Amino acid sequence: MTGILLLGVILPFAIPILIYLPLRHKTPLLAKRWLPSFVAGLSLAFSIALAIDVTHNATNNEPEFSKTVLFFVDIHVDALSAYFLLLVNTVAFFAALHIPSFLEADSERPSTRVSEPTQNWFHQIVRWLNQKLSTEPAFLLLFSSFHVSMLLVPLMDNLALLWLFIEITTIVSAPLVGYRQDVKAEEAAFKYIILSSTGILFAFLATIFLIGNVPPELAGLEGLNWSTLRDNLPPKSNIPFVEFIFLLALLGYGTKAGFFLLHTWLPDAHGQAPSPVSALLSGVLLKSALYAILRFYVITNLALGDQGAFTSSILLAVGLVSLVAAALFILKENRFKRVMAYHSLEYIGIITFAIGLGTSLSIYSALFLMLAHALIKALMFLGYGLVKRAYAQNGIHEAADITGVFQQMPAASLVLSLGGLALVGVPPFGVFLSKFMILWTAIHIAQAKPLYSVAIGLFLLSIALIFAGLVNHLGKLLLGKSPVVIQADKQRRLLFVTLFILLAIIFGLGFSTWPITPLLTNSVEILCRGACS
Amino acid sequence: MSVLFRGALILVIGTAVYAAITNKLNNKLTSYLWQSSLLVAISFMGIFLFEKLNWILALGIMVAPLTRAFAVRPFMALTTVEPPPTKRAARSRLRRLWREFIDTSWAEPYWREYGTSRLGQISTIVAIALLTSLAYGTAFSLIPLASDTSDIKKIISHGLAASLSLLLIGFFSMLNEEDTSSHIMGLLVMENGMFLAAIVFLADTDFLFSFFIGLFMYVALTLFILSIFAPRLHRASKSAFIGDQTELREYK
Repeated sequence: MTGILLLGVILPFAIPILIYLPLRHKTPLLAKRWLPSFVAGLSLAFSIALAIDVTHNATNNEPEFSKTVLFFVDIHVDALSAYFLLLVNTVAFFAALHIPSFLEADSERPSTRVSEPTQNWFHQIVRWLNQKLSTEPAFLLLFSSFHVSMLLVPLMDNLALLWLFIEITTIVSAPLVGYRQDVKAEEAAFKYIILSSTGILFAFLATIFLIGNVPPELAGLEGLNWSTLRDNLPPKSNIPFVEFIFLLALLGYGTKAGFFLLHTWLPDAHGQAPSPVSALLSGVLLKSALYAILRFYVITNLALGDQGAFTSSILLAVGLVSLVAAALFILKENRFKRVMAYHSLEYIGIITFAIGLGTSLSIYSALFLMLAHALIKALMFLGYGLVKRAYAQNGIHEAADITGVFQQMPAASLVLSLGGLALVGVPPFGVFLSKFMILWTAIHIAQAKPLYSVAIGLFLLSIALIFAGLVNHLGKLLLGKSPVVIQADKQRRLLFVTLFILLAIIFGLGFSTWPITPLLTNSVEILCRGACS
Repeated sequence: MSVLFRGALILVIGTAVYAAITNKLNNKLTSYLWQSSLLVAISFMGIFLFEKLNWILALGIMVAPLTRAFAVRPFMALTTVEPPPTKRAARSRLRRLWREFIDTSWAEPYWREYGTSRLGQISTIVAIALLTSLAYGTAFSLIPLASDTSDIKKIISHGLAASLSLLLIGFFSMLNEEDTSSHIMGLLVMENGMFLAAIVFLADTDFLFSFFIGLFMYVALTLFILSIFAPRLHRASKSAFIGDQTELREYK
């Protein structure tokens, strides 16, 4: 059963085949543009079924995870991976719905410069690829590959493959960041690929060291599996080495997750990528890297046998520094999409801080925040993308010139302002309750450890500053006088309906998390092994 | 063999140090070629040191540094500058394909201009000495050496030190270099550090080959993508220097 559901989940694999095989010339353009959303929708349905299946197995006291071999690869499905699959697919589905509109607007962009002819076969290949990368089929292909690679990350039991798929996310998303091929997009793409590839090498080193420490009795490829390592690494042996491995993994995957000082690619890539891609980058990619860190977190806690003391102290510090830095960046004058990117830094900070607190409640809140952040950021990026395209159609191309959205596009301003309120954690949105629970846990711990009071103070101050910063940026965008008159558009109206559905989901999660509660509680159990007070 | 192996490790660090110090991209490429050749030699020596590393496996993993040694100049030429229009030379087919692949004459004049560092040579040497000491200090504290330590453990300890040195020197080079091509060279040196770590840590496990396939794929794809993106960036910004890429900089 799980195998069939899994095949359904990784359906987006089919898109490259559909786009590039015989259908390529016969399929109407519009059908091709809608293909990713159709397949993402199907994949989402299968991931919901998989989540129900996993939850059902867990409640019947069966093993907490099931292992399946698919295409010769060990697939690991537990509540945590099912939760991440749900997160990836929900954002990918809504982002894919906005692809046709983006591609239609983008089709008016002048084609890229054709280089002078060459007869050198090697240069011909590179040039051919260079030109193909900025075409519409390439966009659809890369978007789907990006989606698939992020779906495969939570399914991998093998830690080397987990690393490989996280790296593949960089390789397939870099051309999407540089899709527009102007100087800003090229700079962002180059920076993104160089920084991510450099950072991820440290994660590779961590994996090598971890595998090098595997006891000899675990010979065979099974020894590379997270589930095997979790159950078989001898506790309290080679402590400095295990700590070193965790630090390397944190540094490596932290570059992709966008921790402070490793985050420099984040505002550039999020700011320059097309909006559906920004939604995936911000909503999902960062979480995929966090997922890898969480897997290392469990192994490290079990191997150290210190009830999570080492990992907690590191994560608390990293999270708090990222949060404080995000507050300073958000207060600064900046373009809207870059401000949104800094909100990712904020959330990564809060989530890491919450995991660092190391209680069931704080980890539950962190996991919920991952989903909430993914949905809200998808809403904000997609909503802003619609606004930007509407203004661009009327000759306003510079982000700084977009003002008076409230006057011209009331639906957009409603989406952006409610999304903004959800982002900063205003009640009744679910983010408020999560932040409150994290704070409550921190206050509880501070009674025994007074040093936590400083962290609580910084946490509260940062959140207040971020609130003020976002209100300021949203005010500039929504209020004031618009330089152009925006005409109503039927297709745009339909896309706003999708955003209102997304908004309704975000709003609903603020009142009840019942559809995902079993997944969350089981995920907390998985993460709390060897930690949690 | 153990002494020879450790000697080769020191030479590998030497090539990385030279690549970081020299101010000519051409010299960096030559030292990278030597570094990759040394890694081939290290893989070969591994056959005599590690039980599970047999001839077939060693030949398989040698493919990675060998390919990089041959491919680094053509790829780096592409990342340096866009190739000019060329006409096909009338030669035998295989020879022509090979010639066209290794022909980097159009990029070499640029290599003389590229490769300068932000810091002066003395400061660079001091920084590298500190980083190498840090790498050795970390490695020897993680795997302590004593008089009764086995040969294989000594190799692993030294191998870890060399691999961390390459990683830190490569990373430092990326921060220190002024142009994008030299930046990429830093990344390649770091990647050689990974290769070394994989040999010393995984040679006696069953995972070595699968790791090398992953690493090889990663390097090939990253280089390929970079060979597309770097010239596009140069064309768009009209410069190959990091300092000139200021479009997205918030603090100019």
